[in-house]
Amino acid sequence: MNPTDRDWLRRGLAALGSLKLTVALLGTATFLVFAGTVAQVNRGLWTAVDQYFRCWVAWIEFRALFFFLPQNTDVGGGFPFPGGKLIGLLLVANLLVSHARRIRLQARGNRLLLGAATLAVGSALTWLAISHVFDADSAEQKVAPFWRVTVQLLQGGGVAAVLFFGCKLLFGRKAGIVLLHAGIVLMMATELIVTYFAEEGMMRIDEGQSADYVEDTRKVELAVIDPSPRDHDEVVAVHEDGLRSGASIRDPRLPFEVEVRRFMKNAGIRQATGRDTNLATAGTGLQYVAVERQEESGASAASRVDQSAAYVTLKADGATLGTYLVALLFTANDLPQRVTAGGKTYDLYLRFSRRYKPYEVHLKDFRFERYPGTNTPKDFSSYVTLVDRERGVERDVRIWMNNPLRYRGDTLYQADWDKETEAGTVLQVVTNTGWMVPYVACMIVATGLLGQFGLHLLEFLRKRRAAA
Amino acid sequence: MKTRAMPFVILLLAALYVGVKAVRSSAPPDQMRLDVFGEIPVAHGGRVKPIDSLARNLLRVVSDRETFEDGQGKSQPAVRWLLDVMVDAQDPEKRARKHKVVRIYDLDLLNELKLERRKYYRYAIDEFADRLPDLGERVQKAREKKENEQKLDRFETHLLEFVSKLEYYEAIARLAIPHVVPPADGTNAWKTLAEAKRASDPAADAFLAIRDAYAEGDVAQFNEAVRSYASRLSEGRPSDSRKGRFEAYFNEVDPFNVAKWLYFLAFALTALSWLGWEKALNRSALWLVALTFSLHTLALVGRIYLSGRPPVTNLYSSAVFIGWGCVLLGMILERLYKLGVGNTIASISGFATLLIAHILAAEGDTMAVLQAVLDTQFWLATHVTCITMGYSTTYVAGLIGMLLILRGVLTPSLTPELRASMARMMYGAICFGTFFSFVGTVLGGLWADDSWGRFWGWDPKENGALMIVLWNALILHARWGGMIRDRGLAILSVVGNVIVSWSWFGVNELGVGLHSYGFTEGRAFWLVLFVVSQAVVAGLGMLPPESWRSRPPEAGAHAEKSVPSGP
Repeated sequence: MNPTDRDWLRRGLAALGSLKLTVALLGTATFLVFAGTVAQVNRGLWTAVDQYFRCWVAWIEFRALFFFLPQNTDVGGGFPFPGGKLIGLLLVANLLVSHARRIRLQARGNRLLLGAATLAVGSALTWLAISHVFDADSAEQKVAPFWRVTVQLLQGGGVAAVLFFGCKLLFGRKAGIVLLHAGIVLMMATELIVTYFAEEGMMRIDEGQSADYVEDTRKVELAVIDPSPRDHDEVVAVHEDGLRSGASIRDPRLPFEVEVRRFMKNAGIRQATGRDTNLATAGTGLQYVAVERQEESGASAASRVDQSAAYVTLKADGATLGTYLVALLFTANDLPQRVTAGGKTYDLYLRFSRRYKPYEVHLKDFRFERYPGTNTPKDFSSYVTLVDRERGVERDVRIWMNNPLRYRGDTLYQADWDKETEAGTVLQVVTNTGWMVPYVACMIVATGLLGQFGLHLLEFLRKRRAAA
Repeated sequence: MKTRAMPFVILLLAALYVGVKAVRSSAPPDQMRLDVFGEIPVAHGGRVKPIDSLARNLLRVVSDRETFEDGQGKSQPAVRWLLDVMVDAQDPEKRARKHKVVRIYDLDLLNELKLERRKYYRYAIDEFADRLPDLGERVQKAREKKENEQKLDRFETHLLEFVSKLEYYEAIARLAIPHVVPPADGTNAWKTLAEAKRASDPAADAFLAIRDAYAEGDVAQFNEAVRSYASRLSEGRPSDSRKGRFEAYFNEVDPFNVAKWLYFLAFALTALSWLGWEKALNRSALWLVALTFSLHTLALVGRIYLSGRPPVTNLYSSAVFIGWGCVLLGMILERLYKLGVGNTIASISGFATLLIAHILAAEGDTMAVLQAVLDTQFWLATHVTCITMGYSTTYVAGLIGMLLILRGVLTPSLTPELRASMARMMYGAICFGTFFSFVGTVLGGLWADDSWGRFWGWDPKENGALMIVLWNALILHARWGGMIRDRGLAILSVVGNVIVSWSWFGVNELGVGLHSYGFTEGRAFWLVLFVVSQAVVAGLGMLPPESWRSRPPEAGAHAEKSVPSGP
């Protein structure tokens, strides 16, 4: 018998919505998470995240699975595996189809109307909570962290309670199942949004200084600076994505052509010896050479940033200006590579890539407290002035552990400090308008789970009592 | 008769045992009151604690034990060792150097020090002091390597460990440890004796009077000096003094250790019940577990009072709390089903987790201070508690799974009714496990978001928690879809044990693994052993039903009726 198209469609949907697929996907996901965890032993955290989770097809290296072998052991090869995005998408599809196929409305007439209305109100409340209608654009948080978080969770809890009531009216005994899965979809959608829209960076400020940009410590840029204008510097920056070995960068804004001879994500810098075949023909690279190193591991106890370095050959009007070594380490020591082209002198820096902000943060004071008799930090806080000329804002704020500053869609957290001087702060700046979603989603799923299991438990206990 | 009397008698005996343990024995008047000295609060490692705790922690680091044997082979408290080291400079006998307390188990190092292997590998400083200068160069080299973050080999690691033990000795002898003198002002800057003497603080002299009396062996003067110092402190710092007294008492009673052995006894009773007298023995076990559980709970409350923090703050306390959760759940299951299964679960998990806690305590102060970001009571109380409850419930399901497989394969005792009941227990435990691990994991993400603005960072510990959620969800969906029955539920729950252990211990080993010399040492070794054991049990479970000694019910679906259906 030849199956018709409709049969195929029905069978396809049945397979897509089947619990077998759910189980297979959950098993696949468990393994992928495991592989992506152990991969961090030998790979950087972000490399692992990109290679395993934020991709459609993951490439699982055998080396990752043999994480317990000594570090310099070489195990070649690997195999493709469904990536995080693929599993996530299939799980959502599986969930939606299976609900559409199996969950039936249990309500008619007024009950249906009331249920639908409650759900609509609940969804509207969810939307309001997520889009921060209930919390102000606060530049100073006076409440204790305990209350702040409790209030955020209570918002989610309130929303979830309304939604559960609506689901109960519409779906009866399966209310919890519907609600908790809706929460999971919401949560997975957030992770997707974060992947595409959230940005994070570091703001390093010394006492008495200001900053109006954040640095992305995962990526570098090659900055060509013309310091000649009196009141400002002319800066042209080439982002890391353009700095592949062998790439040639031509841009009318650049005074010369940049040819990337070799780009090293992580490198050690050491003094040059006579035996080195040194690529550099000018600048600091004559005395020092860069040696490529393995990327820093995310799982390492002292998770450090990659010390990138590159050899670049500069050319103008067909003539070679020289091959320079540029390195983050030089930049940290404020050691620019000086190049003269077209009568002007330019400073060359390989630095963390920067993003500029519409506001400025001025660090007045950084304070530090330790537990008695130890080096374990107890508390540290930055006393800053927030300046926003566009909006005419200028106010003093204290940013400290678990007490971030939320301003213009950014959240500024106390992340670190200058270990040498103890007079400089490091703020983590995150742009993520969806930060409230997990709070709400968490409470929705929790309510759904509790409702579902709670109903079963009550039923079970009632039956036992009846039997006894 | 038997059924009623036996539980009473056992409960009474156990309560008597706990009572005896809880009463402090005080030294006779003609001896030094080391116990009172041990109650004096001092600051060390960022925390105010009684000298008794300090001495135990330090001796544990040096010797892996909290007591030591004197020349006559008599067991002596850690405080005596601490005092002996403190008076080293003025002690003509140099007793501190004769105590065999420094643990050296690296054979190469023993060779270097020209020491014979002996049981327990504990040596006195006098036995190897003359060999130390020869090691100087190698120590220097190992230190440089460590500073440059190069990999140390096994010998170098053990050498540095050994040297750090000696450094403790030396620091105590020159009074750099502990910070004895409380701050006079409102700050929390405690001073060491050396610092306080320089500042001519009268408290320093009062403390040194104790030390001098000890050095001279003057019992009356020692007791008087201790008494006057203690009363002086209880006026100046009443809260520290009160906590100091309680902590010293807590140390001596060691309630978790008492509970550990009582759980073991309870397990022995349940094991006996498999041979006969089922009802009486089971009831005795349940009562004994309940008594032990109350002790366990009291001890947890005591720790919360002492540390001023929610129950779980580190690996040690997580073990204690996971055990508490498992026992609670086991008792509830026993109350509901009265099959002895709950007793077995409660007693095994109580004993095992407290044993693990005991081993973890070797790493130093179990109430050590936390890094700044972890210091948030709200998150510790919610996230960490939920996560550990998730571990507990998932372990309980896994233990029931093990029990089902082992009894089914190896004995004919697994009746169809028992089997169905155990499946329901597993199912319930996994439901709760899913709830707690999900909420705990998400709360962890929210904590991260609240602290540094990243809800999910794919960090190993987060991933471990996520794996538990995924696995529990997998089990539930497989059950709802009818893909597994009792046997499959048991096998998958046993795999759950592996996943929880990975999340609990494995990911920590990963971070350390970068700097250590392999995955076969210490904790990692036990973890691997546990995983292998679980694989064996799961493998047994996969044997065809015909080869089980308890023949399963006919291959029909009648066992499924009790299970709720999913979407």
